[in-house]
Amino acid sequence: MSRVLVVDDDASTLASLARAFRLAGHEAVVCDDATRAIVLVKNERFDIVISDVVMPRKDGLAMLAELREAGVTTPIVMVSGQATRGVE
Amino acid sequence: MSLRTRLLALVSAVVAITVVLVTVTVSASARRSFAALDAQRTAALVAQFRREFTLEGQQVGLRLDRIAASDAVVRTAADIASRHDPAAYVNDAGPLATAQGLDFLDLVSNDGRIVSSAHWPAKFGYRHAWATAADAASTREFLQVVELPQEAALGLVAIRRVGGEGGLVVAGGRRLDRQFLQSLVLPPGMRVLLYRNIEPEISRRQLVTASGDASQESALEPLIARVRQTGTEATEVIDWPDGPERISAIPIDGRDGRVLGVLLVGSSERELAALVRRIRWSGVGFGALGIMLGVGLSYMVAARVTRPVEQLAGVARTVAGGEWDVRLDHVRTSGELADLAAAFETMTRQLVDHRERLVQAERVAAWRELARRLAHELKNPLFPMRITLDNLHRATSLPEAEFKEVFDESLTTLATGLTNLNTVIGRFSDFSRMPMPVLEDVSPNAIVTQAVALFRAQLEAPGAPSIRVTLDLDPAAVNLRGDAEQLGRALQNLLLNAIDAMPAGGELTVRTRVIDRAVHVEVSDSGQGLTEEERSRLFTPYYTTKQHGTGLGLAIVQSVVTDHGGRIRVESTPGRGTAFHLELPIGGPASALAQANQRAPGAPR
Repeated sequence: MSRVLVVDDDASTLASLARAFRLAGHEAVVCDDATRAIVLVKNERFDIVISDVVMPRKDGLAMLAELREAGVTTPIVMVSGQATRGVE
Repeated sequence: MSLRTRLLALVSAVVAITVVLVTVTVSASARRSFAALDAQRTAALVAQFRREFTLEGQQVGLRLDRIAASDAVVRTAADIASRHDPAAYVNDAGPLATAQGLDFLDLVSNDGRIVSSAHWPAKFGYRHAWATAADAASTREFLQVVELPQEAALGLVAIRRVGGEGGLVVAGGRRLDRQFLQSLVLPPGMRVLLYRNIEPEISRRQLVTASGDASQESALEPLIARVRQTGTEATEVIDWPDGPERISAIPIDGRDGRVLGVLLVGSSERELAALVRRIRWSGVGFGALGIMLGVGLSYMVAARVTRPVEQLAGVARTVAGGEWDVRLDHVRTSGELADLAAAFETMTRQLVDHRERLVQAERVAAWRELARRLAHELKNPLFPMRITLDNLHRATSLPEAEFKEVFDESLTTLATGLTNLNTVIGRFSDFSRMPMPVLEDVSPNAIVTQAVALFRAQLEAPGAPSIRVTLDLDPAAVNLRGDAEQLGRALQNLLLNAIDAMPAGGELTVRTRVIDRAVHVEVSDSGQGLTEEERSRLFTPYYTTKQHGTGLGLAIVQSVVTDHGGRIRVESTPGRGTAFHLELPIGGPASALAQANQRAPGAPR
């Protein structure tokens, strides 16, 4: 069993993703704000972080950069519905 | 300056310059020919004068020879030589002079005393002024001032000797005066005057002409004075009331080289003046005629050139006004202008072609963008719905209670997703249905006030960012041809954008102004501003910087403004805020088109 942090500003996405992880037998923690997610990742142990890219206030990529700078090595998976330039 | 005016000025200038040049050249050459002719005539007259002078001198010499050879004089000379009393011969000179037609005659003794004087008998016994025995050595005639009882006269005289040592000297001659001048043959337009230089000061009395006295001719005095002083020839043109006259003054010397007389040869320049006047007037006449012809000609040429150009300009204005389907059949041209017209027609056709292709390309691009945006908007709610369905599927194996929990949660998620999809579709549907504006007389100030009022509740709600709203309305902005509802919607979009740009609060200002027959509306915020890239893509439909938004807000604003014949622009400084500026023509879209046509190139301003 792994501990997963799901970060997304959309409540439906957050809820459905968290449910999917739980159904697969993992522990899922949800967070709808990148700034708060950084605090969580720094203070608690997560096996993996699943994050949206486009979010108001701080976006997923900024969060990723900040965490890596702080020396956090937790794997982080970026999920985006939005087509990023150059990367689908 | 139009081509017509310029052509006219050019032709007039060319004609005027040519006529002036020709007139000046002809006048100058006429003057030169006249001067040459005049010099010839003057030289001929002077030569005639000298010939007459010589002939007269020869006459004087001949007559004195006769007197000297006459018996009476020879006898008198012998008597005087033999010491007879000279008083006995005091009356001898008179009859002798009369007989030979001389004006002056003196019989002078060998010692220089006058024995008898024809012109002044009382001078008997006086010493003779200019004739001595020594002077008689020369038989040459010369000019001499001769003293008379009342006056002095100018005479052409000679001296002869009669008998040997102690004999007589005969001195005599003729006056040089009017009669002498009358003997000269004068060409028409010429006259001759003689100034007798026998007084210390210049005196008009001494100026004689062939016709009468010339005492009025005081204008000649400076010329005479000059010749008197320098002893050389001089020429001067004198303006008389009846026309100019060229006067050549030639000095005549006496025996000792002194200037005793000044011969004045006058040649009237009245004819020359008349000729020059005639030339000048013909110049003026030809000039006027030339300019008149030139004006007519240049008008015709200009009309031929400018009419098609003006017609072309009119057609160009029509095209600029948006009327693309133009024909140039009515523009009658030939040569280069026909080429121009043809080129213009080709250009218009190509422009129409190009524009159609551009419109098509834009339409395709817009459709593509719409489809992309729509897909994205639809994909967002679909993602959680899809996962939820998977979850439900997986949850079927769970115990009843747990399945119920997942099932309820999934229903909520699916319902929310469907609602979101509906909203997205509704917004796109609204945009596609946006109708053409219905134009009425509306008040921009009222529209602004109403639009701002709609946001009051939202702004004053507890927990909302603190945004201060300032309305700066121009009292004149109360009249505009427009669609109040659409303008209101556009303003609401701008206000919403401004509020969204200031999540931490700030200043929202709405300003109206009337400038140059247009209402200007400005919505500005003190938010974080836009980056260069954001600003350039701002009005692209379906572009958004916001997480939740269709990207249609500003596209709607732009569509409304364009439908009203207006313009929209944005000013933004990152970190300082953004201002959207709408410019709406007071008369509505039709007046905007008219104004654009007026501003078209080539149209008079």
